[in-house]
Amino acid sequence: MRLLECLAVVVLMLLPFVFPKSADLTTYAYWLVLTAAYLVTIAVRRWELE
Amino acid sequence: MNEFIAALVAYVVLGSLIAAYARGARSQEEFFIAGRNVSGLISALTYAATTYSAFMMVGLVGMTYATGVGAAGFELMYLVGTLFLLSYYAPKIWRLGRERGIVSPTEFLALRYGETTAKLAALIALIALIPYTSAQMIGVALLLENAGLSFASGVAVAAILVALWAFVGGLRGVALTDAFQGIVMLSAAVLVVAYVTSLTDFSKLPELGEHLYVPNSFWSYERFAALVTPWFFFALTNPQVFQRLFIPRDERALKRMVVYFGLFGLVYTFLVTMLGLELRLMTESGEFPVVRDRDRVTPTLLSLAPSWLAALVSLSILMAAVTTANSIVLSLSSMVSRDIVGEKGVTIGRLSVVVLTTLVALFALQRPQYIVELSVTSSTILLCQLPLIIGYFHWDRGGRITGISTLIAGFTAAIVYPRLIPLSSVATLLTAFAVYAIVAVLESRK
Repeated sequence: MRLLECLAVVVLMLLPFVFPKSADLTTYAYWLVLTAAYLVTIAVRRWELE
Repeated sequence: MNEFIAALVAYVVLGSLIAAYARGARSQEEFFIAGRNVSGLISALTYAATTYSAFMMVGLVGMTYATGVGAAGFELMYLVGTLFLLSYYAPKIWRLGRERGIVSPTEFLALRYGETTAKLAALIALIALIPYTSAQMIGVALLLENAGLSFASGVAVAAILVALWAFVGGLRGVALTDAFQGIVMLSAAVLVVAYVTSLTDFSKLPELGEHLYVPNSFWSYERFAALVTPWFFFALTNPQVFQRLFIPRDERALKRMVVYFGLFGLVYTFLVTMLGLELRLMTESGEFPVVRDRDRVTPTLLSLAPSWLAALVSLSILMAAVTTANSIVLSLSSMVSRDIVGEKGVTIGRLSVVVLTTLVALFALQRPQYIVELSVTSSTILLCQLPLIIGYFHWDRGGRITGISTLIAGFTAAIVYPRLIPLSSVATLLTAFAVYAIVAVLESRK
């Protein structure tokens, strides 16, 4: 399960390499939003010691 | 420049007062990991200040300016990798540290792979991190050179700043001084971005062209993979951050450390990369000079900014370098004290802070031309520990011979591959894992 999570995160972070090329902040915003979403995910889920 | 000197003096006085407040550690646990009794917020700030070196405000600003948003992707890839690794492994490592009384980062390896492996890992960390720490010290010395000191005097001041608070206050002193420095680093980044944003005309954004997407002429798939690989695993392979997993006072503080660090990292990365993009946009609009050497982008900005802002940002860069360097020196000292010498007190640990800082300063004084390459190589060298750390939790095979062979093979690969093949960091990692798997199977059969 954790391996799948790691693979999913890596693949999602690499997606901009196959995005259509656009001269705006789409790629930049995508990376920031994805990182923020992952931070929220690990903040709200229960950890091993909880 | 007077503002910078005044801010520097205030910084040294305040930092020394904080370190003096934290003095008095007698046991190794107290000196090297603050008695495993640090709050989540302070743990997060020391983790962030240790992780984010002068590279952010100088190197990453310049990299974003020169190569575009791919630099943000590179840095954020490090951050999500760290969040993934910490959310999964930090609780296991924190608990193991308490149950087995682990203090130094490489001591953990001795549990499965024997003391020789731990000693070897400590030696490899020393070899890898002395040049990297020297790069931080050179950065501080260059900032002080701008303030009128000679380079040698700058290195001497940097060495005192690096050693003093660690020597006096141990990790508690370093953590508390890191916390206030981390706040200054973030505040300076907010102010400088606010200032540059007020001067930027965003209607010219499309003129940035290939700077706004990947792949482009710099960020190919191969380059992105080669640069990201060592940093993705930084949280497990770099001793100064690994050791911070032992310091939170309880489970809640541990989780807070990771989450607050993630928040700090996200905001700081956004600010630093936005600054690089805005400066590039200003160059396209003719409002900022064209800067060919990307490491000169931030210094050029500071030469044009209001003097109070330039002083604050210069101080924040100096702080970023000092917080990274003194955490590394303290972490290496714990390895010398516990893994290499095997002392029970903190005398050799304290002495090591002074000796290692002196070695780093002597290295910095040479101003080696290859310091950048050495710094990059250092993160790849440390990858050789990764199979042993991951293997400890997921595979019950392998012992002393596996530990020693994996470290030697990974270390050799990290030194040799960059001269022979592309994607050398990925190849180094694969080599270390392959040797680990093969030798672990053979050793288990014996």
